[in-house]
Amino acid sequence: MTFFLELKSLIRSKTLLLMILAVTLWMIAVPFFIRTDGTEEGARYVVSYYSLAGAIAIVAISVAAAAAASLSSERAAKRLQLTLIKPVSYLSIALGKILAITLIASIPLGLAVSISAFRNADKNCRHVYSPVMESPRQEAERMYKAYMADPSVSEQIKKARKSSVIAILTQKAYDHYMAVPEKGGAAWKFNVPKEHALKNASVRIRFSDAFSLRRDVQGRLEFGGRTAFVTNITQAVVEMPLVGKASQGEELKFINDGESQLMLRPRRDIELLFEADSSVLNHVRAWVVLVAMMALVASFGVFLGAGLSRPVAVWTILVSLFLSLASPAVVEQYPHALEIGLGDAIGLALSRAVGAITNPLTQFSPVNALANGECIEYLHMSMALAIDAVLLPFILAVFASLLMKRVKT
Amino acid sequence: MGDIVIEIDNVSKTFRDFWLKPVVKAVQTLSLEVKRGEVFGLLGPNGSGKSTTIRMLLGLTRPDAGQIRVFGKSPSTSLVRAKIGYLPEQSYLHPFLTARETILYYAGLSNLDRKTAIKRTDELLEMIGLSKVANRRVGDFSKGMSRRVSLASSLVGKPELLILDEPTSGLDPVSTKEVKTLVKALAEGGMTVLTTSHLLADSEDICDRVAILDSGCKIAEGKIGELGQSLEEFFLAKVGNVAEFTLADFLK
Repeated sequence: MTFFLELKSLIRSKTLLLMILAVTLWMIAVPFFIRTDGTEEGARYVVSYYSLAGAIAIVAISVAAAAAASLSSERAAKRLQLTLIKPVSYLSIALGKILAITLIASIPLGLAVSISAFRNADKNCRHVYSPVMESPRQEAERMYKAYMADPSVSEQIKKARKSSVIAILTQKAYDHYMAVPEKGGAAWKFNVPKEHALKNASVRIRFSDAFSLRRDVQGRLEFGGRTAFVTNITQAVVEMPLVGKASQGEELKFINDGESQLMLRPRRDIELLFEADSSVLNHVRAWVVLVAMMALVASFGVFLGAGLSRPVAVWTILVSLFLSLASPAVVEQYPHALEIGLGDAIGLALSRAVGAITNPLTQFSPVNALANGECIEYLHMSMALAIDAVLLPFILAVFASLLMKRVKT
Repeated sequence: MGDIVIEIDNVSKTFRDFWLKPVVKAVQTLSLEVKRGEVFGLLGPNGSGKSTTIRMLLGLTRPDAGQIRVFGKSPSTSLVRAKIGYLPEQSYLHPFLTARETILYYAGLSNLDRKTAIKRTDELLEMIGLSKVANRRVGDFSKGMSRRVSLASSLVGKPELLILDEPTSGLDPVSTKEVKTLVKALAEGGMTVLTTSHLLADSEDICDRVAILDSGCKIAEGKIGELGQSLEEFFLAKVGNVAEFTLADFLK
């Protein structure tokens, strides 16, 4: 019953209408004021990224505010007590509200994703593969052992807390640069299933942002009997189609024909892309992931609204949303707490905690993938559904129902 | 035992501040029994503990000491909640719902199936005289009309115990008479009614027994006729005289 009540409330209070209007206006307006790099691909990326990110922000803020206000405003108006004295479980009250808000959010999200799908209908999405390597953590452990065994490493470093050193080394491993010497080569192993390996493919390489480090790049890429050429780089990210007869490959070879050595971070900078299903289908998967994300936002809002007053609940969820988006950047910028003061260390610990809690929300965001034309994999979508739309909302709804029991009137 | 619907046994409730320091002793060692089919009036001045007692009976707050049993069980169990109808002092309705949707909503919360809920809603709309405006939003209703919708919502689940907080508040004399007639009819049909009211004449008309509360304590209990004099005289004698107001200078 609370599901229908919330649904009617959001429709009749014109919240849904305003969300649809705001999202439509934003999606249509973005191409008119966004500056692109002048290439078709660049324009496609920038327009897709900013229009979708903005639309999601509009929906997320609306969902957060509506969810946080839902129970709290009913309690303030003393309407909630009339529901709580009925023979209905408090869990079903919370779940009904979460479901209704998520359903409402799915409409403007569907609109945004449809506009994006219409703009990108001519392109299939691509499966993305990275080189098969040991994990940054494993590499960090290996480096740590080597440091400890190395007599030239200072005692001060050896005395440092292991977890802090490992945190630094893990970040280093993730950013690990590999030098490809001039007139030399390098090879990376890829684990590509056969059904993908024979499709149209391309290689994407991210070079250093500094032009001086990429201006002399010239080379040849080979994978499974197909070849791509890279030369005269003007952009930091390039995508080169692999041409030739396709066969199952395992290694991507890079032969550096340039005059200077090239620095690459294999974990971040080299990817193989294989053409997959239609962009429209990919947008449908992205929509499912986005709806799952909104279910998480809605359940967090309902949880806060169950225990806090309306202004405090709304303020808390909006700040949390901001922190959840900002914390990964903070943690990435200051990955360890060895060289910072106490105040910054506390801030970093808080950012890490928020990042860890909200990881599912940011981890599965499909905006970047859609803008890059990458496939939202079914596994990825299923995990988002299971974690963001089922597991976490259920846990938060249980907590909300416990809070409702405590803060009844 | 089966005839007793409400048992309040030595119940006390103190409201505390954030630091758990006692602020108000709302109810002190209150004991009451209400029998099946009885119309029981809980009377008292503002702040006497009537609303707190009702909230404890509804399971919205717990007593600090003593025991409350409704139909022999704790009032917070869903089995008991299914048997209680509650009309609050003010009509806390969802302003964006129509009168029909409001009653249907509470019918749904009372676990009525869709067909029965629709039938009951139509009957109740007819009973409260709002059938013609059933599809108008209650946010546009007058206070009296909202009160009628609240009353219908409290009756939709066919409760065995009806708790009415100031049931005639905001109603015109005709509607007040209708409510009083309705309460009597419900009691004759076997429903137990617990009501609070500031209007002593109303209580005199409909209640079989009353309890008078003052500062959280029960100061009298008995049948209307057994209290000796008129309820108003008895109430004023027990609770205190009307304050002697003097006209303020700025009003002269």
